[in-house]
Amino acid sequence: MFSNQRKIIKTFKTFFLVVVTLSILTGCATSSANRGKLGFAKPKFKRAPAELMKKIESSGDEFTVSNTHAIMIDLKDSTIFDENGRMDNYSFNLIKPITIQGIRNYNSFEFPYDQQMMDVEIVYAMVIHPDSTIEIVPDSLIIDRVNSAGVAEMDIYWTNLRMKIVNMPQIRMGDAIAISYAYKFKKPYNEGLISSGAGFQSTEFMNHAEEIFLIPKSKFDEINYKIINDNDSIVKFSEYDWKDYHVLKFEVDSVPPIVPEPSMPPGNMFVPLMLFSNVDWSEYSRMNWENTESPMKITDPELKSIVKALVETCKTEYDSVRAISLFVAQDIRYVGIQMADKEGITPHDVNETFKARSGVCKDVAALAVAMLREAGIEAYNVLINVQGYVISDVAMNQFNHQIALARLKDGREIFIDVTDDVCIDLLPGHYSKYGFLVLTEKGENLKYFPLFEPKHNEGKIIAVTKIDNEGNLTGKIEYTGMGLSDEILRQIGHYIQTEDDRRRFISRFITEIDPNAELIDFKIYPDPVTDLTEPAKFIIEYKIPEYAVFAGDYLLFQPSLASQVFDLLSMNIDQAISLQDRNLPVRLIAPYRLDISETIELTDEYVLVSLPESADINNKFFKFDTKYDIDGKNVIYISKTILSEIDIPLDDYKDFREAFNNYRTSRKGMLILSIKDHRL
Amino acid sequence: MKKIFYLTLILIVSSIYAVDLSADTVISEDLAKLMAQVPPAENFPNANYYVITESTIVTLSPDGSYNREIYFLAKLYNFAGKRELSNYKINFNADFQKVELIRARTINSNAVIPVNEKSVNDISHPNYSDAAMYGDFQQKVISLPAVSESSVVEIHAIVKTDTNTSMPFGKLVVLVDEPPTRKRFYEVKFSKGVELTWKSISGAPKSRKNATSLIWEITDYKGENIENNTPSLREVFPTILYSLSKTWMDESAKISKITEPKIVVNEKIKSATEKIVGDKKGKEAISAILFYIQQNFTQIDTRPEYFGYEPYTAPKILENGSGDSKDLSVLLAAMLRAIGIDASLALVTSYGARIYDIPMSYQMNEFLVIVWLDGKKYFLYPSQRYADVGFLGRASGEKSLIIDPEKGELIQTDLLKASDGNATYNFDINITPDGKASGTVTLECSGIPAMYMRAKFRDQKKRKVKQLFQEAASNISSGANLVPDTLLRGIETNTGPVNAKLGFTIDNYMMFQGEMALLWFPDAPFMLLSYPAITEQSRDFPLYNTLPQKVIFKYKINFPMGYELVYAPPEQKIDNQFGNVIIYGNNIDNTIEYTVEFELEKCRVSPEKYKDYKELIKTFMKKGNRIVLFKKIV
Repeated sequence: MFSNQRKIIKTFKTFFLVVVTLSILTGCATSSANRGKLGFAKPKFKRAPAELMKKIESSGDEFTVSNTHAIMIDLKDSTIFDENGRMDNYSFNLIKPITIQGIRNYNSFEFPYDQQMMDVEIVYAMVIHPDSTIEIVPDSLIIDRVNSAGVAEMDIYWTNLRMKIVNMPQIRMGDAIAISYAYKFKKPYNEGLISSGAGFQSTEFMNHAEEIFLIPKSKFDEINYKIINDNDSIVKFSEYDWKDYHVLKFEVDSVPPIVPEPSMPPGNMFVPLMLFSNVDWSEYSRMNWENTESPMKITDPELKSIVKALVETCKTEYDSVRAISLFVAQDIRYVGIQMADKEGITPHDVNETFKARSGVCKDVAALAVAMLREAGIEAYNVLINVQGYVISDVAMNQFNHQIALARLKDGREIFIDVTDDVCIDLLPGHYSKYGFLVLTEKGENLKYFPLFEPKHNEGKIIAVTKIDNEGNLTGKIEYTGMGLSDEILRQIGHYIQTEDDRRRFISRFITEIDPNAELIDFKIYPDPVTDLTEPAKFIIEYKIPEYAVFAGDYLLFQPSLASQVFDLLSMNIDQAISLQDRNLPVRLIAPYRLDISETIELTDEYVLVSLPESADINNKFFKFDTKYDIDGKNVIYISKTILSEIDIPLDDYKDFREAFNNYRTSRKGMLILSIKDHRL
Repeated sequence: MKKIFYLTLILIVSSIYAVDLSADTVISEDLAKLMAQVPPAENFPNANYYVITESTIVTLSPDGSYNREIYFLAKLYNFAGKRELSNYKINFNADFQKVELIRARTINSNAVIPVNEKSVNDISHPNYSDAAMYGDFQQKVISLPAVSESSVVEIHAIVKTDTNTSMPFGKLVVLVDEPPTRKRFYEVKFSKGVELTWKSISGAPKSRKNATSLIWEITDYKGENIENNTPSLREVFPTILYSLSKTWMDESAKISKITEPKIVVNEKIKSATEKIVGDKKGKEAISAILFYIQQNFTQIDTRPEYFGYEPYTAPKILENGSGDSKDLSVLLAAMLRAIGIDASLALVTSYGARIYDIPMSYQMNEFLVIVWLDGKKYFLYPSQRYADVGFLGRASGEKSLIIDPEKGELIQTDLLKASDGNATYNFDINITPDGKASGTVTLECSGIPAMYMRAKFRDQKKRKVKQLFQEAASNISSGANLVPDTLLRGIETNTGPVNAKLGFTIDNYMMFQGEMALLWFPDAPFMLLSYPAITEQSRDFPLYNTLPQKVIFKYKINFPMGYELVYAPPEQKIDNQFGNVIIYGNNIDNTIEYTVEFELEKCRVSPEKYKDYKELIKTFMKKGNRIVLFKKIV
């Protein structure tokens, strides 16, 4: 959901400047350009002035600046607000690629925009060569297209989302790029809301960056601003009055680049940034309540009768919530079509959503809320961020998703993500710590979901296997789960629907146990998996010819589940701990627990000589233990995996990594058997 | 439901329905009958939907423009079918094509809902979002309303193509693939006197031909569910190809007429070339120019059948700093000709699909350059950043079309063999009595593995390179840590070998279980192997391994005193038409030295021979070939 196009612009990669705007307003722009300064206004000079060339040359190169493909020599951004919150943003970037990859990266620039809300103007784009000649990009190399990459894949086909693409001429080493552009909003997303933010670090080295905000004096008293994550105090702040505005200026110098790491947290958890707003969360909640209320009146008689039919047999209020939520989740498909003004944040009329049986999160959430209210249940829309983190210090748009909330008479709050059609709990199990804002008439404060307990996402695997004298293994696995573990099973069954495809998918897992493994049978319950009255279950029957290794007088094999191939949630951790050293903490997907038990019936001709060592890994965030019990001619393998936290701080990373590596090592132990009468 | 009588073509003899736009919520009796006859989903447990009718009529006008009328009627069976068809997409290039939507609607048991105009959106094709400078390639997305898992969807549209000299008339059409289909109809209409060349392959029926049309029809197709890693669709599903060219020379000449004038050798090109080449000659000079373009130009992905064949001129491409395969090839050819090298453009399929002997160039999707030097020919791949002179990748062993006004022909390319490149890992490991290992692994590689290493490491930031080495260490074994002092050589050019070295330590490498101990051979640090998986027990369709590979693992492991070797992998050799696996080794005192060689050719594996391929992979991956068992000496 694109609730604020500005968010797309304001990544921690782009940094903007204002000076030029001030120059325009004071009438200095033209003279600045004549004096050889480069900024927002299109330069009149035919060759780059000496001062500019010196700036470019002295900014550095790949020998003086490391871990960067380009130097952001000068990034300036200026935003002017009117009293209604409408803004104009002027930006100027002076960039010098210093590696071949940098040259490739900056071969073109993309400026996404929401046509309903704003226009973007490319004031100029040019290449400055080392001999001070300049090449201005002609308008013919600026293309304006519908922006579908990254959204069409999510079935969002909003044609209001567009992009201007500036194709640069060939850039050579030593060249610099100057580009100036303006985003001019036609209207604010929320009337009266004056808010913005900016990050001060990127994946490239920043020589100098400035962020200037001109806020109407009449509104400045309302403003709350904050600098966040600035542990090294790199952000310099100043403020002053200028004409009818109060100006906030933030600048940084010589900021080292971020080198991304696997499973790193969202950028706003560690990048120095600033945010400001003239409302608090309560007011922000109220404002967005206003946006979402009017489309939620049910007028379609068919929709009304559906609500009635859904709830009339329900015994409790909770049952009614469930019935309505699942109807919306499973009958209304996710697709984004442009219908409304402010498409990014305004839900479609719920009657239209129902008629089309389609919508994106804001549309389906609004429909669910409307239907719940129709059934007499107190319900609200809720804004949430499912990819990142919501900073509580300043109330502004940091959201990218919308869900619904039902407040029951017994005091319970039931949150529902109606874009998830196979979530048995109505709220997916990866929502730990997500910030959310309930939209009400009186307004509410920002809150966070708690860290879910591992058992919330518990998976359980029970296997019975048998090894024969020839070393062939046969087995049967039953896999059930709760929370996210249940959802994963259902998603597999939901998206992979044909018999052959399901068989192939599961075969991939069992051939990871052993390449010789053969799937005998695979069943998913319930079928269809959208029946959320039953827990999901996989039953997998398999055989592995020649599974055991004949090692002289010995027979070696592992319990088939000891390799933990079905520990799907651990793949995220695997990726995270691949680095020995990290500069950034780790953020994982979800806490979980996985209990495995496998009863292995041993062959008659062999006797157990040695078992793998039991594992007992007890880290602050990750626990894993294994146990082997012997019961007659059966060996019982039991393992418990518990991940209890999603945020692993840097200080704890080394121990966490060691714990997880020990878990990986423990998967390699083998049962060692010898032929009877050949005991050690 | 209102019943309105209107004119329709009789289902049995006609290919599509005529449509009464005024009654879009009404379905005809014939249509209702057809829908009622759709077999239940249980009949096709591997189908997501059933195609009731799919019809295409292409009408070629004398001026070269043509229309393609599409009619599609399908019954959904499940959620996956709903996902696939609820947003129906029609590709078109807005520069010279228009799509007229005649009808789009959802037919449910209780209602017929036509699409409204807001639900029809033209978007830039998401796969070609960075190709805007080559044309306005779009998708018309028809988001059908109220689609459920048992809906019928109906689409009727015409794609109109203007006269476009950069798009020779012709097409490759896979008539049916996975979904079961009651009827698939394809007709090409043309004026009298026009002669089309055509071919039916992979089980497609022959066409019914008359003076002004070719018709292909398939009825009662049961559908398939193909396995992973099959050859391209044209090789396994009924496919037709048609073209206005009679010979490959014709086809080449058409394209050459468009591309040749763009291979401009002016002063700018000459001067740029001289700077790159210096005093290099022959193959060295060729290599230098190729590398310059590969390194310095951003590569953009396009396909001729979507964007046409017209490139920019060579001087313009030099200015642009980026290009698709045709542009980069034009620039390369111009720069080669600037120093007197005989160079022409050529077409291949980048994904290794078979080229059939019908002169229809859309079988191929990527341009490159062919040069003739000292009696030899070399292919040059400017859009493959890490490719050395002669490298064809997946296109090796397939056919290539030379685009040249005089030398235009379809030629066979040489097949790249596994032995043309390889990766050799040498592990040298010492294990202390507590089971901790320390050691080094070196890699020497050439050919395809060297390309992978270059792609992985070249142009990376320093910290990223450090990360990649740490990841490499952790791939060796669980708990492995990198010892600083790594080595990496040969990644800055595309020629010659790549060498890498890293040191590591591993806690608990040798695992003790009472009197016994065991270890696993270390895994490869760099993922240089990629081959089709063997998850199927048997196959109905061929398997295609598109790139040859050869990897050799050499292990030298010193284990602690006090233990004797009980088991190590037995000597084995499997050698068949697809490759080989060789395992051998020995143990002297407290040292085991083992070698595992794996070689796999580029190959199409028939279902009958799949078990041989499987045997090869199974042997390579078998646990018993990766484990070593020890016993304490009493």
